[in-house]
Amino acid sequence: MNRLLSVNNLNVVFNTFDGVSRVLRDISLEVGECESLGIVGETGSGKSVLSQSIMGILPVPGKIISGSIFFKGENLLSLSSKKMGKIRGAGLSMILQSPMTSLNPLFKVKEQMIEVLKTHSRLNNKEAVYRAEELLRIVRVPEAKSVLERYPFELSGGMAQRVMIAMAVSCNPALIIADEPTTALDVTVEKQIIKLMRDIMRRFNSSLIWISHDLDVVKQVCGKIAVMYGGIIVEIGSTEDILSQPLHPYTRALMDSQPSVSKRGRPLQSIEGFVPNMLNIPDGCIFDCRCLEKSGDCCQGTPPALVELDNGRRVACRKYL
Amino acid sequence: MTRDTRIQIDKSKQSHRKKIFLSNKLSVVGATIVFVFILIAILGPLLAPIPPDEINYHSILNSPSRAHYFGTDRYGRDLFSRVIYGARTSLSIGFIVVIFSTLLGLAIGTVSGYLGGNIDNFIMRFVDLLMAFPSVIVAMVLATIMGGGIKTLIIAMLVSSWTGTARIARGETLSLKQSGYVTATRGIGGKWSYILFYHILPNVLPPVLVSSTLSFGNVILNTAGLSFIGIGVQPPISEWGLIISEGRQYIVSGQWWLVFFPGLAIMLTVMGLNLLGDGLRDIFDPRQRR
Amino acid sequence: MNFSRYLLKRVVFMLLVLIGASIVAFILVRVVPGDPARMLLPPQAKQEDVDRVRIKMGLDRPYIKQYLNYLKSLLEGDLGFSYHTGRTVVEEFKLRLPATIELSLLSLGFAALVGVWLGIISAVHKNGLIDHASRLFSIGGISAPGFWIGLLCIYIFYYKLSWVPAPTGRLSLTKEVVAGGSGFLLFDALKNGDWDLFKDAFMHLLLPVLVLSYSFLAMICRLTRAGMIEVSQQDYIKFAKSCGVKTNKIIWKYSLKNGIKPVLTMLGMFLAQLIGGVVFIETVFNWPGIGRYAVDSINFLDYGPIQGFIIFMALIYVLINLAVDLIYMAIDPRIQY
Repeated sequence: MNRLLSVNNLNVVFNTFDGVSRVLRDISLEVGECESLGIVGETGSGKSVLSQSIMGILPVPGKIISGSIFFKGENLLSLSSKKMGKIRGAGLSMILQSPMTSLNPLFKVKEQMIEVLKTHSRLNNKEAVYRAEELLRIVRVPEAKSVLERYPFELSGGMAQRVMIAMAVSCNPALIIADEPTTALDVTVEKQIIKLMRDIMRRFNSSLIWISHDLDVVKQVCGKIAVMYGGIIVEIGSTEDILSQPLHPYTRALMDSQPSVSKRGRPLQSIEGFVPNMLNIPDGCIFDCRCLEKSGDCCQGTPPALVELDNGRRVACRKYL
Repeated sequence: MTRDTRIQIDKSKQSHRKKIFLSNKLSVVGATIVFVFILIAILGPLLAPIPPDEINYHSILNSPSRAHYFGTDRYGRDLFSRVIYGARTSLSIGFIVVIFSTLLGLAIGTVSGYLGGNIDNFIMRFVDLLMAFPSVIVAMVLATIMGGGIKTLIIAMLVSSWTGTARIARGETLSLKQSGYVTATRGIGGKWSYILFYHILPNVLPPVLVSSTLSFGNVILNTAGLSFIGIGVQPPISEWGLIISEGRQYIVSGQWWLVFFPGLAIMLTVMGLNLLGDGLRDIFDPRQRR
Repeated sequence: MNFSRYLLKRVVFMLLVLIGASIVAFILVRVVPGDPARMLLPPQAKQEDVDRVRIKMGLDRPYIKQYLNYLKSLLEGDLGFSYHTGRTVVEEFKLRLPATIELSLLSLGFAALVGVWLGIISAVHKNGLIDHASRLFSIGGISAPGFWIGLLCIYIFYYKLSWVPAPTGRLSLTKEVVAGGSGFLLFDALKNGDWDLFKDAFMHLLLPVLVLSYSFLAMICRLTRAGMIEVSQQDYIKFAKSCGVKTNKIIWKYSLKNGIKPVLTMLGMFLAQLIGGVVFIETVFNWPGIGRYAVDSINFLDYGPIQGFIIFMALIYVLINLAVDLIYMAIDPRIQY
């Protein structure tokens, strides 16, 4: 099957003052049409760098040193920046974490929305404004007409997030990358946005990558889940498979640490230790020092690669070699 | 309350800072220039081949030569020596002004920020007002009251420079005041003097140090400028701006050295101080790094 | 509702500053050792003249009455007499103001346009050749004294290269100011179609404007660069990029409006520094403006204009403050009163 997005052996480094930080190592994943992939990982696992690399907006100290990113058959890394610019916002778009800082404070909502529309289409001003209003209604922003005339600081967090979503889908993208879109919102608004994103996927027939540190949120939206830790993918598979039978020790620890009603009365589980320093990646398995299930010195030596099991499951743990 | 609870200066932080500073080539250049000029100022009399005010009517307005490296002025005085002595003048005036204005600015700024409320507002309004007046104008007004000369110059520049330090000190104090450990310290009964000296001052000093270094450069420029228009240092003291004004009329007849060398000295000194200040800023506040 | 309160606060502030300035000017002549009346007259004035002035100033009356008297004369537009030129201070200002304004506006305008442009290019091509070159150029502008650069430029461009005319002020000695004109030479010359005059005035303006603008250009360039770099790291620029907005638009429309903030913040300070800078440039280029007039007055110990200057400076300060506030309000919709 022709994959919409296929990331192959992506390696990204950051050249810092104190050394080279290997932020992403050998990342491979795919997203098909109308599919939704959730990427779960804690802070520092490299999830944002991954989304920025796919979008082609990796900031300067960062560099993609090898690998390929195929989108609709084209390798994005080999495109000129002009061509990439045409794809960004139209074929591929992104929603960021903090809506209040993601909209330019000195420009009205209307101006920012029609800017995106006019970049990717031949609409004139009036038509663009009309379309913008329509989009705001699709994302369920009340009083769309007056919101257009407002400045971002006059909106609430939830409304600003909807405006961002409206801008991201304004040109019917085939793939939307949502980088922690609900992390900065309170729980009730979060629920609404999750529902909205599901509706948007259906309505625009687009695929979705939802990045989050919250397994709970991701499982409500995505059919496939990839778990990241310390710059690599440690497990990837369908949501039901992973939830019912998590294979990698990290995934298991992550699920154990999620609070739930069934664990009432018992102390909250946490994962001991800290995320490794990317400037000094230890040899062997990246999860070694925090793994509760390691046997002997199973995880010294070369790091375990992602091994393909049946039904599309992949794990990076020596136990499954 | 033991001394241990005050902010520890991390040993590794200090060496890390030194590393950043040394790697920034321009800062090192700046520091070197400043050091060289300070040396010149201190060793002045030993370096100057001829006394700066020795008049010699036989060699008026000579262009640079082996006998007179920078040439001579209209009285036959050796320009090289005059420029060296000018370094002593500028740097000593600069030091006095900067030290006192820093102390004054620190005192007023920290206290104002710490007290907060209406007192702080009032003081800051006053500081704003004072800052808006160009130091040249302030100097000119004072010069009319007290006559020209070094004393007037120093007071005028003091009045204009303390405001910058005060603003910075106050800003830092305000943000520190709202930080956790100050509130906590007060909560367990810490005295205000303790908080001021052990918590606030160590954090206020770095940005103040940066701004004082930069304002040193400004003071040198102002000294030269005011002496140039006649209300700063008076002859026969050697001061770079004064030398330039004495040589000014000869430029249209081609005697360029009288204007060139003293001005070059000014530019190099101020540039050194600016580069040094920028370098210091880089190590103390990575957020502002270029 | 809030706006009128703001307006009231502003007006009160302006009045306070002006009154404060008038008090300073009033005290000035009385604090200096010597007879205040004698100070306002040329040194060789006759005793009867001094006595006349004494009475006019009311020096035998209580201080409050004297101050009110002074205030009254200020409000009537009498800023005093300038003995070293033989005209009233107000007349002198009227004569010299256009020269200074022409010089200042052109300098600041040039510095702003070129400085912002250079700053943007430096930020966009960070650490490139242009960035390093402009950094060196900027450091020079901030470190070198304006009057020195002016003198060197005169030496190079007039004496050695003859590209510009001699620094004789606004015009060559053979030309004359347009009679009854606005005082703004470029404008007057154009209006009258006097191409020769225009060229002459322009050539005389060239060097002073360039030299005066140098330090501001340097500062504006650095500030713009810093502002643009900071903006480029903001989330909203990241989002705009991810929506595919063209790079040019991102730089010149979206980043610029945000990134120019530091420049505007310093605008007030710039204008204050401009006034200081004007004094030096006018002295070096023999420009018949207010700056040089101030310096001359001090050197002649002519107290009338010095008093007038204090009032004038306060007025300028207050107007500048107002203008900066208004500009801020126009640009940033978040600021409300």
